[in-house]
Amino acid sequence: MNLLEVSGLTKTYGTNHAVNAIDFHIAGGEIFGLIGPNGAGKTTTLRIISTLLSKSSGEVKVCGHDVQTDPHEVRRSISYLPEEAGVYKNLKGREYLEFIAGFHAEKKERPAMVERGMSIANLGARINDKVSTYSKGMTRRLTIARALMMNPKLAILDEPTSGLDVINAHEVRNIIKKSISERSAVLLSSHNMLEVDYLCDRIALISGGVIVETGTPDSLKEKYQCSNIEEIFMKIVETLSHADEPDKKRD
Amino acid sequence: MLMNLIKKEIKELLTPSTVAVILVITVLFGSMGKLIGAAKDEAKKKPTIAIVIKEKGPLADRLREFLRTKTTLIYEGDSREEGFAALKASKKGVALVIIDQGFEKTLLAGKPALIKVEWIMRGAGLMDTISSGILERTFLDLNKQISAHLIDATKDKGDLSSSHVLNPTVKFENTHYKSKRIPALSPNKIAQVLVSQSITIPMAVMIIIMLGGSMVITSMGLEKENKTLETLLTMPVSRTTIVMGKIMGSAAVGLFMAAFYMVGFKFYVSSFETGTIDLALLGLDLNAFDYILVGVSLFSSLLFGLAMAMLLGIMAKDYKSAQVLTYPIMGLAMIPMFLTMYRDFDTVTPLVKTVLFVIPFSHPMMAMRHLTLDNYLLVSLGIVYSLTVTAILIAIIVKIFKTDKLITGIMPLRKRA
Repeated sequence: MNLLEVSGLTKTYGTNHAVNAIDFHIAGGEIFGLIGPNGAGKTTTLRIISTLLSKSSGEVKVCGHDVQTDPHEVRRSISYLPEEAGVYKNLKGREYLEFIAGFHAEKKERPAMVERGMSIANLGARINDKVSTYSKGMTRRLTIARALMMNPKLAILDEPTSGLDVINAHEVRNIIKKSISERSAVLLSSHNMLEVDYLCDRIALISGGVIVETGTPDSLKEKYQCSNIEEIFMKIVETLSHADEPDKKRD
Repeated sequence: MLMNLIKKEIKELLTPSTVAVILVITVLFGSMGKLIGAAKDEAKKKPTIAIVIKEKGPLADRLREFLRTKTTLIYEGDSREEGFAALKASKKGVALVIIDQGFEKTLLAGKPALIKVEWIMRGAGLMDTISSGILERTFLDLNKQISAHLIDATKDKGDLSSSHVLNPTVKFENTHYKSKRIPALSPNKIAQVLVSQSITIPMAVMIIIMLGGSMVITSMGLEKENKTLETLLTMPVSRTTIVMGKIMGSAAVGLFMAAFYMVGFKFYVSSFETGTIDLALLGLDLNAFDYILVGVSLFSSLLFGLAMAMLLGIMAKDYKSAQVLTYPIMGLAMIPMFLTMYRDFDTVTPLVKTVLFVIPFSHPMMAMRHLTLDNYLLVSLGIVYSLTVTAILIAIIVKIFKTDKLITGIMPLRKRA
């Protein structure tokens, strides 16, 4: 069963198409990567799926629930982690996890959820310190733990390792990989092609609001005769810019 | 290079919102200046009074003549009832002065003579008692006239004590303050007693609203800056719950902090108060129900302030821009604060009355004064009005929370096009 179905999704701001008629789906047990240059429409897509932005047209269904007509049910199934998401600085790490657990679980189930979050964050005794004393890597581990501790059916992660050093990024990637089960899926966006190659079962390349390529990393490597995703990405981007040139000359 | 840096600083600091704040402050100071100017003009005017002088003789003529010069007489006759009616009918009448028959005889007998004064107090604002203050000073000059007459009349005999000649009269005064008749006090003394209602309450309300408002706006700015708002909005909880949670949380903290501020401010203001007059004896005290109403009025007004702050907070991009957005609330709270300090609701023009009623912050500032005079209707209407406006604001906020504007920001029309 598909946990996410996106068809003909379009988002416009005036005459500008931020996302233009995109289609993709994510099945249970999958990690799906949305890659593309800055301003390609990745974050807009993630925000629409997370019920933060409205769509202009098309259809988005999470676990069978429409994001526009049934946003509350969608929010029960998802967990969204914005790029460089912050936390409430006056709370301790544990208090922050308890605060979020308060939205997702009944009182009896909350301690177990918080325990799971603490185990994902792996901050040791520092979980009882104020978040304002955390390093960037620690804060990210806490927010990743917050996003995954409730075992969401669909975790939506926007640039989960952005700004992290090699060690912290590696840890975060392992957390994401371990979190996946047959009944859950992850949708992530990233600039890091190696990360996408390592983590994702399937990827979609988005440029100018349009999905220009979709497939598994291996199938794309074979199709484009490249050894890694970065080369594929560069090849596609170059092809697209060449394709745009006649239009620009005409203009 | 220096110019380059200066240009950058000016560009950074002189934003449209900063200019708007400067304009608001200029207008507010201008209005304050106008108010003080009006107080100065008022102080130059002669007080309007009615006199009933039943005494006959040269002293009575001298006093009548003196009062004709120093005041504007709207009634001069023998009937106390007629004089009082004329005074009440006049919008500016301050007092009815009665000098009974036998006035000079009492004085010459070495006893203090009685001047009866029936004051009309129209409001408890600082400017409402200017005329009565002028009349009080006129009474001192009136006493000098009497002293001079006594010296002339008894210069050959010299059997009056100097203290009697210098203080020849005793004032028997009552103040009619709307529906109440307060014995043995002039409007000025009553105004001194009510100084806490005139100054402390408006200031305290303003502090509460500013504290609560800035908390909500700052919280919104920080939520946006730290991207915690995006996380919050994807939680399985209704937008109304998020909005109400923010408002109620800030209201609780605002009231708690305000309680401490008010204690400190009360100590400061009590140094100006006349501590010897018991409000209960004057019938100007409040009962438990009145205090509950004042609390409800304050809370409903605070809720409006917080809802307004939240609406403004939606426009905040970050912590810095949030700070500037508190100024519209401050401006809106300052208007009723100054108006209610200087004038009573009943003594202002219909336009000012409308302005005062429309701004929900006015109601808790005026509530105590209204309840002192048992004007429950106005206080209740104020509460209902504030809650209604708050409910409308919350509905608008929830609607905005359901749109993209919270994430994408509210763009100026020009840019959007």
